[in-house]
Amino acid sequence: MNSFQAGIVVSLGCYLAIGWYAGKRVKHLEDFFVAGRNAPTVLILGTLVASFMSTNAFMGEAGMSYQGHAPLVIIMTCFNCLGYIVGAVFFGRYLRRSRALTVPDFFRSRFNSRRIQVFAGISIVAGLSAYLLAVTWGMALIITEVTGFSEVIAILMVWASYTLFTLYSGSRGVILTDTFMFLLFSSIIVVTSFYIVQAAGGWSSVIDSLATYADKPGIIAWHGRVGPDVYWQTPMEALMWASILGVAWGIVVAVSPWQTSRYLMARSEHVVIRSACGALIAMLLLYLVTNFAATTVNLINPDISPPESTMIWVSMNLLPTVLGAILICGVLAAGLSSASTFLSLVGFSVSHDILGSAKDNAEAEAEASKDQLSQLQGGRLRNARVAMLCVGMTVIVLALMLPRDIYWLTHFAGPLFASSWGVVAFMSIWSRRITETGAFWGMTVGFSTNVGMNALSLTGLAKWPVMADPILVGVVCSYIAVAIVSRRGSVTAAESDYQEALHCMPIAERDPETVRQTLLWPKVMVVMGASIAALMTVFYALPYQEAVASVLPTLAENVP
Amino acid sequence: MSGELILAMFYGLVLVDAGLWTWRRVLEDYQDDDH
Repeated sequence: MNSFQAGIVVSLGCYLAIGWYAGKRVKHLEDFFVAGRNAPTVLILGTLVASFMSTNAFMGEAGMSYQGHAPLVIIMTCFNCLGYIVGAVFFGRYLRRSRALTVPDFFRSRFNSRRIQVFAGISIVAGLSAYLLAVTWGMALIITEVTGFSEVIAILMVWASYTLFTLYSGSRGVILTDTFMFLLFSSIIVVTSFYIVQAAGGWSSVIDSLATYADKPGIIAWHGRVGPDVYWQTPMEALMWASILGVAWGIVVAVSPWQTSRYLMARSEHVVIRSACGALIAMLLLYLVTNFAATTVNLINPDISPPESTMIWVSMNLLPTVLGAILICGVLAAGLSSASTFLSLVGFSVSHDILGSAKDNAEAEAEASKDQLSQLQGGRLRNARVAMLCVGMTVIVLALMLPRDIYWLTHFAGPLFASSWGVVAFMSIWSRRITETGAFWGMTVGFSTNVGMNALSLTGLAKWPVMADPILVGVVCSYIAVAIVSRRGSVTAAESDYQEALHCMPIAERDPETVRQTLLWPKVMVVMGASIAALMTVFYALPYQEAVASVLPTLAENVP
Repeated sequence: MSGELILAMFYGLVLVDAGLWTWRRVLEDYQDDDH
């Protein structure tokens, strides 16, 4: 067994051990679904970032940066990470206040509507199962490449690892392993970046070389590579693309179930706000480091193919063996953390939102004695695990049988929820005029528009301009549907009362000491932001200008 | 001012602005007894 094989086996064993430890503490349905609603900031922060950053961040986006587009990834990150703050302040903390078990469960309570819950549950099953397949294949590809295991063995290994601990421990295990994985991939990527920069000749040499890099001109200019050889012809076109996609993915971050459902586990509303602040800081730093490191690899090996395997090449050829194995484990951890979150959410939706009836369960619980209540909850916990196992079995069958098309699935599944839920999620908190029918049709129209536009694009029948990104068009269509349909109906007293109740601040949240602790996080953001701006100016913008200026006279002399 | 300098400042200012806005929002929502 080589170091890479040993590292992967040991890390998978660690996740199973953490899941087993967390699973022992699962006694009730709330433990399994929402980790007992008692998670501290560090665990919510860890699971937010780990769920969002899958293998795509260290392969797809790192590959994009290697090809010369890191600045665009950085610009996109600026916009999409703001989704954490917007999502937490305008939706997440109210979602937590509702004490729902799942996000579709919140929609059911808010609109007193079983059909909305079922529709939202089905969209989770469709979207996240597809994403889960893509992540499973992505991780299997890495294992196959670095260990030489067959693809089937790799798929089975990956599937078994995330399924076993998720099945046993539910959200309690998922947030613990997510946080462990977040710490693993964050720390190893920082160490890896150090090695890459040193191998390329040190910081100032790297900036000089990249600023004047002839093979990929403009690789670290503010717009990255543009021109006839790449997708973007001009700097403004590149800027528009990055800004629009950044905003679209910002909506995904703000309302998607694999992000907002984390807030249901938070100990308090302050934990929601603190973890969103922390996630914003962590994502901005991680994307900056990862994508600059991937760009720098050009100076060591400019011919890595495919570009998505840049970090795999680094782990196998540049880093010391042990660190290389840890980097592979870190990349796998990014994928596993997303996969475990997706599997748990799909399982919860099947058992609770689609097959279960929260209303019947609540009535049965209200009439039950203490023993009966314990039996009832035990039964529901068992059902949730059985549902998750069935989902897991379906995923492994599909993973082994379907043709591998990671790009297609990720492209379709990721942003689906922004179009389908985005408008309804925010309006369910802030609008007094949105009706149950309006919400239902808003979700349906947003979902259908996104899927329809993506289907036309992927089959080659249409090519959408950046301004007409399916995520944004889906959001706009969803809003129009909500506005038109809601105008024709009226809000019921129950819906109105529920919406008002969501705005009643629990007294416990006003504790001055707790508020003071929460205010530390924005302070850290301000200090970090000022430091990042100063450091990027001193270590990137100014040396870049000097390097480019020093080359210009040479170029001018060579012009006949 | 170059595009690279604007990018450097913008990346940091996103955090600064988000921090200041969150600070104000937390104070408004959790410290104002009349809310």
